[in-house]
Amino acid sequence: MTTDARTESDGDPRVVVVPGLSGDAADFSFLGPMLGRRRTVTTASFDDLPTTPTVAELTTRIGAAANATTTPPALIGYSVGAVAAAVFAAEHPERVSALVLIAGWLSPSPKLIALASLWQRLAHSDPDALAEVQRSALYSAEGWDSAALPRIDERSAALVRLAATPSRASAPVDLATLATRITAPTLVIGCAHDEIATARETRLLFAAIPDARYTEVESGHGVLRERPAEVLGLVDGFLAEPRRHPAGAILGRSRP
Amino acid sequence: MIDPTASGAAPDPATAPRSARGTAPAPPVAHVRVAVIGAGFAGVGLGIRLQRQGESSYLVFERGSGVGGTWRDNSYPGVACDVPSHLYCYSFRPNPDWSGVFAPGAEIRRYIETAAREEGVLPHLLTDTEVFGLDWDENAALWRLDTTRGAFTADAVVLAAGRLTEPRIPDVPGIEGFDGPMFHSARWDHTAELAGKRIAVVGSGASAIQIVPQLAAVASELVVMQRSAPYIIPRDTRVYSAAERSLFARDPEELERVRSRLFWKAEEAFAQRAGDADATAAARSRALAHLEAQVSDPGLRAKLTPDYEIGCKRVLISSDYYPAVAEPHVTVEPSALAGIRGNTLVARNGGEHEVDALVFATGFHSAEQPYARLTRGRDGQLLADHWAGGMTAFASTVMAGFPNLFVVNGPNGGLGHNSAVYMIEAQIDYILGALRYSAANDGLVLSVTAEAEQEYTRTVDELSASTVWLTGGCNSWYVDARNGRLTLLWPDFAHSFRARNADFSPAVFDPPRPVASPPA
Ligand SMILES: Cc1cc2nc3c(=O)[nH]c(=O)nc-3n(C[C@H](O)[C@H](O)[C@H](O)COP(=O)(O)OP(=O)(O)OC[C@H]3O[C@@H](n4cnc5c(N)ncnc54)[C@H](O)[C@@H]3O)c2cc1C
Repeated sequence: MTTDARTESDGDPRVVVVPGLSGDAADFSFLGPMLGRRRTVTTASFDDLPTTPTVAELTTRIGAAANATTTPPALIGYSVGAVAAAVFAAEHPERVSALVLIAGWLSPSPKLIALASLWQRLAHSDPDALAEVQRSALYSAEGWDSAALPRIDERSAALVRLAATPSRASAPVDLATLATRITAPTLVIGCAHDEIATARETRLLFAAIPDARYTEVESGHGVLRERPAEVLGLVDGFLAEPRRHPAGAILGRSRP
Repeated sequence: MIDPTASGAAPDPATAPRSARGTAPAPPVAHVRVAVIGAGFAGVGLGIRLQRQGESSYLVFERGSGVGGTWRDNSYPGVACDVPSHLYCYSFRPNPDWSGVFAPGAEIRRYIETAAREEGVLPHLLTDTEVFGLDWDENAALWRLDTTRGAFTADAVVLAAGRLTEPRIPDVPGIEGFDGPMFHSARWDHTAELAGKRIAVVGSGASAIQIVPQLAAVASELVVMQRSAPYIIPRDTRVYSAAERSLFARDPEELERVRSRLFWKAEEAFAQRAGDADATAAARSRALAHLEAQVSDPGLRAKLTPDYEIGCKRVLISSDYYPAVAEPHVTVEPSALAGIRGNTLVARNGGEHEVDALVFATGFHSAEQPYARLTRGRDGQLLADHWAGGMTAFASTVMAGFPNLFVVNGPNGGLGHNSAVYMIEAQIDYILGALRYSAANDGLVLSVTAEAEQEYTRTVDELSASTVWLTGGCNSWYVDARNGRLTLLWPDFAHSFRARNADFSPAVFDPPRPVASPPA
């Protein structure tokens, strides 16, 4: 994944990616290598998480990945990884050059909380059924041909549990307050048919970050499988010139 | 652009086509702001955009007898696009009526014809008009065109002359002695009687795999001369239902959504071209599984298994090619055509096949474009000489030493994984931006710096280095055989081409030169 450190942009050639609910680097199996053609990409590792991780645990992992670079990297988080990336960027503004939050949220939606409790009930008794249910929630009807069964394991169980915990309850994280401290230019990518984060919660996250712009992709929550190339296009464009669109801008959908 | 009157002759551009068509004594040299050479997707698309901007001083020169380019020349049985039609058309002229996922060639041709007519381009079109000379006149700051309808001048010229226009026929001994119908796929002889005949198709590329199933249905025997086996993936042969077409017509947003989905799906395939091991392995398995599912005979399967990495040559899309070549009266000869003795084809591997008719599906001369040999820029430099080391251009569109000249679908302007029309549209945006800038600056002559062109070429070469076209172990027409450079394809995502090249920026152009005073 590591290529020459040359960059065609003024932006930083180093990128740290933060996986979503699976905790698996495979979330970036398309985006990682393709961004890696012109940049150095490091994945924040969610291996060996404690059974009940906190957001602080995730931001520590992000910090470790970010430390591997000499200059502050661009940080790209997906799903619960977007929430963690936002917290990291708020707590360490000087360590992030640009921030991309994909299918993240300000607060967990009621549906996400319900899915998490279903996860608790079925993870051991009927993991196959659970995987089916999660797949249905993850992918949109239109993107169904890209749908894959999510992995049901201890790590994803822990991340789902964490994701569904309202931020206030897991002090010290109140994302709504924290988000105002993010200084990096930020791109928030929402998914029009996101049944997990919900596009509304993603837009609220955008609204809470001062220097953020927002755009939406026709996809379910599983956007990195449904529309990975479109996300790449958005990320590439943003990293090349993060402040091309002013803070607060809502960008139109792509019209190829 | 310079004031037309400064060129010394400026008949009303609207009448120029008519006066040129007539047989009356030579009219004064007709002058237009923009001369477009070629009326395929690119030339017609540019005409439409000029028309919509209210520009009336332009002409489109086309040597053929109508518009359509590729889709006029290729009328072979089975011809169709292999990029989904809702994507393989102008974004600014969506078409709710595409009959199926991949429309037949005649439908695409009609689409271009209708677009040209309805958008008002036809009055600016000169058909049966070949441009055979194109010279930059430094003093007058304009281009001089020599055509089969006489001389013209233009402030700016756009080479929209295509890249797959010159049929390539292998130069094999004995070809002149062949007795029977013999033609190239892009020059199909519809009068030839082929039913019940023994037919050979030379080639196994994109055209061949569309032709072979059609000929297999009528031939008594069919031989496919295959120099190298292609990778083939299943084709979605679905036609759109009446309800779907009605929905497209009633809800333009649905059309937009479909196009967008098709585009971004197609983009994913670039990962396979960029040397991503997982994506490449997945694509390879998919293609080989298709072969396995459709061809049970191990001997035939072996012949049809490619010996290079997937993506190095165009990945073909067909669900009826394998079944056709598996038929008992069809033979795949896994060897190049080496010679012809009477009506017997002799393969390089020694195989011999006597046939009654011969179809060359052997592709086109693409690395060296004929228009480069008729174009002379500053100091009389020939474009072919500028391109002696392989085609190059800044932004894939403008060349140093060739002021006010633009080329579409030229150096690194093609794709192996997505729609050519998307690329063409990005280039049209660039050209219109350039023309606007020039017009806003007293007709400033636009001459890109040599450094900018070299820098762009370096970037392209760097991006190309890790792609399958250079590493995949095949002989591909995308690569210039003279120097091994990838000159025909953009070695990255289509969206990055648009991001990088659709917006005109004057920064890389020479500053204004002192303007020559117009003749009195
Ligand atoms: C069989 C076939 C199938 C294809 N399928 C696809 C597909 O599915 N998807 C895809 O993306 N691409 C496909 N392509 C590539 C295709 O060529 C492009 O998509 C597109 O049609 C090119 O348009 P163009 O306007 O650039 O060139 P063309 O369509 O080639 O038009 C160029 C025109 O310029 C004219 N011309 C050239 N020189 C002169 C001159 N000196 N004077 C006057 N006129 C001149 C020619 O007569 C021609 O009409 C296919 C190509 C072929 C051959």
